Amino acid sequence: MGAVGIVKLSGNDSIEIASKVCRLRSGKEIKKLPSFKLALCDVIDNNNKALDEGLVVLMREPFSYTRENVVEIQVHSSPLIIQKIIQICIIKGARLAEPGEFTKRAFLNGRISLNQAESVAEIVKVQSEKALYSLYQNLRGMFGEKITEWQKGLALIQAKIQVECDFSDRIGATDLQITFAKEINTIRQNIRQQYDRSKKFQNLQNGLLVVICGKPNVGKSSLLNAIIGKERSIVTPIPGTTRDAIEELFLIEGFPFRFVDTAGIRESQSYIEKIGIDKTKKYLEEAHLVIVLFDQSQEINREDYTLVDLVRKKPHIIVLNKSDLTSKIEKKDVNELYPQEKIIKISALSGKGIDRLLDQIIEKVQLIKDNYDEDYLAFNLRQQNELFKASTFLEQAQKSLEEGFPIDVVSIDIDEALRCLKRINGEDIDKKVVDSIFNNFCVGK
Amino acid sequence: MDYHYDVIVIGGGHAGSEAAHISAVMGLKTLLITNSIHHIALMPCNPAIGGPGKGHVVMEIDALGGLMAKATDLCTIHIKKVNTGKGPAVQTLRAQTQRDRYSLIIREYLEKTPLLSIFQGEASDLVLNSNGGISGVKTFQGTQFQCRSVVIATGTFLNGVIKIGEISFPAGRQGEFPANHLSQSLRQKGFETGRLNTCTPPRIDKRTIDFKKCDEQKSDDLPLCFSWESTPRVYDGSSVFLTRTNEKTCEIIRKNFDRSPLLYHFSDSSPVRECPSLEDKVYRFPDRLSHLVFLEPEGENSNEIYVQGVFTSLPEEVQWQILHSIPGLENCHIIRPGYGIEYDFIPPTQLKPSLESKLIPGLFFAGQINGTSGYEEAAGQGILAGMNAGRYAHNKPAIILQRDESYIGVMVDDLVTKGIQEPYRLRTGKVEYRLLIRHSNADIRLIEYGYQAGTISQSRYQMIQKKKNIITQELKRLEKTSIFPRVDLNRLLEKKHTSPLSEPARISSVLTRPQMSYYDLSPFDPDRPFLSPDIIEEVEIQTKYRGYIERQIRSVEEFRQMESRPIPLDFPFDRLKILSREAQEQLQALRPTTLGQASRIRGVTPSDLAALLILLEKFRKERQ
Repeated sequence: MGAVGIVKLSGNDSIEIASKVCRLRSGKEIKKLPSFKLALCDVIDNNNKALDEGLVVLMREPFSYTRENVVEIQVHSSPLIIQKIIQICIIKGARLAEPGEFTKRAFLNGRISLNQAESVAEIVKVQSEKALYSLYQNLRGMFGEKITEWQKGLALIQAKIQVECDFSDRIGATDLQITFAKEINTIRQNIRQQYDRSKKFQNLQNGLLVVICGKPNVGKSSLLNAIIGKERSIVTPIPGTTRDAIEELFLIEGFPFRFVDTAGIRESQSYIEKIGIDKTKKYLEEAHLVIVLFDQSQEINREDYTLVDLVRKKPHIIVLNKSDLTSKIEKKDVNELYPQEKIIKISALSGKGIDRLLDQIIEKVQLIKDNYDEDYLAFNLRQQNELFKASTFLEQAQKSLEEGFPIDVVSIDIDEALRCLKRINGEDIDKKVVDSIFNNFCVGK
Repeated sequence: MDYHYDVIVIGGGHAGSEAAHISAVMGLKTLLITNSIHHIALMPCNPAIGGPGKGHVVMEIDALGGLMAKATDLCTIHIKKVNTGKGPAVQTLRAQTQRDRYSLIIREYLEKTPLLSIFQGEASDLVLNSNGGISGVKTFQGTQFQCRSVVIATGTFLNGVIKIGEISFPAGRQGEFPANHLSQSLRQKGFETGRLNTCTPPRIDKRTIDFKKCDEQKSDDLPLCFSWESTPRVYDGSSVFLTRTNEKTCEIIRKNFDRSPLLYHFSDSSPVRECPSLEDKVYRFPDRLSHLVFLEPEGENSNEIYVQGVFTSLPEEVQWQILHSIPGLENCHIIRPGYGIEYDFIPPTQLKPSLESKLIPGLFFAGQINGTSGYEEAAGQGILAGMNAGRYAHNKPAIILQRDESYIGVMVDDLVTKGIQEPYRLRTGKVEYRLLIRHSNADIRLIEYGYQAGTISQSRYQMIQKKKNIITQELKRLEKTSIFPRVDLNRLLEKKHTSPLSEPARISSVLTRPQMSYYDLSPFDPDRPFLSPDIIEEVEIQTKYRGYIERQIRSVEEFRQMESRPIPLDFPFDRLKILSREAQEQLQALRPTTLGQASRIRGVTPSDLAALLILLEKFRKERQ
């Protein structure tokens, strides 16, 4: 935390991509920026909203490490911000570098000198081994098995297509188009599901979304301030990432958290307020953990009931605020709404009970994490990216088949999806397809 | 008597014939040595040319100036477009031919080729010069010829042994002597040899088949042909008939498993998965009770019917039983029984992508001796080896066909990079960039090679350039021209189960719909130029599958980057301590010539490649 993170782009389109990701404060075009000159910029998201401020520098070919156009974007190194910038770059046409790829490109383009060659060779080897290690270390578990299962399923479809094209005399194969579309859809859904779960889990690791909700004036903002004010939490504000709600990123005992203070939910007919409530509901849907705040100085009313229905199925913590004021409701009143649940009494104003609340949050986080079977998930962005690409290729395959594209053409999509999976587990699929042909089908001249 | 030649080709089969012909066309004095002048370009197996993968090669041979396509067109009796509706990349032609005519036609072509001589004899030894390069060929009968380069294309003749049940005897093919001396000579010169086997089915008498019990496959009613020089024709004579084996057949075979000398599981020979014998199929797929059998005519004037599907090395008495168990063949008479043959081959990892041996400069290998199966595979290697033997004799760099531009390129790369465990056959599935290398564009793909080598005439070259331009122009026109949502158009679209237009659309975008053909849109496209069917086919494919084609082009660009980095012949693979042990061993054994080839070798990982890249750069700088 606090250091600078650098996102590096190399290749023909890197300046083009950078100009879609960064907006110079000077108002000039990035393309016109001279090489090796740092410029202040805003990193912008898809909707042109600023994510963070940063510095950008261009190194035009051939005067860069790779001898290609290189752009470096320097930002605050919060993991969330960096992930976000990488994601935006990918949306705009970049892809993640392979292990050691910058060095590889430097060599391909004749940039590395003779003297450096040998020593860099060692480094590349070490780098790749490390990369391989991190690539494969979490593949021993169920995740690896899943990948292999999908590969087998796709290899079988490829084999069937090849058998049909190389060994069958019939004309057309429209029946197979429908069958394959269904088979592909099943695998695609599995991959997509895995991707979504992995993504969710990663979000969890990047910053657990804790949503504070309650009716108006229940003390939500004070609670947030009280939590942030605690010495054991470190705060990094992220401007512009939230809609109307305030979002703060900070660490509690090593866990990154994103706290959101939502607009209060109240029974209302007003259109504008309804928008605010819809947003709150959306936050509640995304939330990993909800803090339901009650004001113990006020009686429970219909607004509280609405809230109860909204969050009942979410992991939540129930908090009675304003313990310093005269109590109009007791724990047992709340327990009527949430039977047999632990209720924490605090005073956001005085700070009393906040430590117990934080302990409770940490405890809940552990529980939530345990709920994810980590064995099944893709941990790093690279793997997730491959899963996403694989599911996109399969979606294309399915769509093409349904539109009536012939099976052999669609095998290009399946092949690409297989290659994405291969990049996750390193297994060579070509042999699998061939084996699948001869083990499953009785063919011959 | 003149004993000096530029190029000598040993073997007059499909590989040898194409090699000798193309070398002479390139202006080289060429000699073809064959065991028997009566057996030039014989079709010892099925009387058919083409089919998936193979038809593509026939087109490539034609594009390079070879013989197979035009010879096939001259003796076709039945032809079909195969794989229609399965994708443009896998579509091709398959022709049934008049077997004996094919052989005579090729012999005639060879005899008419200036600079080409034929000699009947058994080549028994190679003569080397003081540098270890090739300098001549000796025959067993005692003649010695001098030359600058040699192509060996001896098929199954090296140490050939025929096996039928319990009987076995040396033979090159049924009724022909094997060639044992050359095999020994090659081993003495340091070549590794291996053993392969293959089977051929029985031929039966047409008059003894009950065709009523079989399904008829007629020749297509479209005019078709392979070569650009031929005129497409409709054939309405001979049909192919289809029948099936049954439980009784399987039973007979199962009872006689132990009498099949080449059944993989009982013999020590290599597995044959791509062209299995019927007994292999029954053994490996016990649940499958019926296998397809095609009855293919060997010619219009011949009574012989080739029983495609009943490849066998079982004893003759069992072959009678098998055939008589098949519907339609109950009373059939066998004219020529099937047989298995085992022969020496040269593991092709001993060759460069030019088909020149790594061991002896100027010595090339082509065809079944490299472990392939099939006439087309043999001929494809033959033409490449012939061109390169010619270029070697002229001191010109070899032509290397790449994986992304031809089926021949894929085959040769597979052979020299991956080696073989069983007879190699081309299939479309082996060709990763197949959407770009279609049957229909072989001429455009390979014209530069033929032109460069001098096997293609100037006028043919210009003809292809013109064709390319017309295609580009028409593609552009379809991009620019709109059609309008007229009632009749929308009625047609709905009839074809695709959505009607609500606003004007580019013709190209409507053509992208799989349901719509170029011809369908003709009434709505009044400014359409008159184009030949082959051009229309190309335009249609390139429009319809544009998205996929563009993606393959991008993949090819990545592939080319690796392919364009050569590895010097004297690169010290043995000093690559930095690589994994397996990669180092494999690289040292195979000595790939480009980084791309290295990447396809088994056991070479991406990190090995990164390291290799660096070491190559270092090696290059040290050289300077």
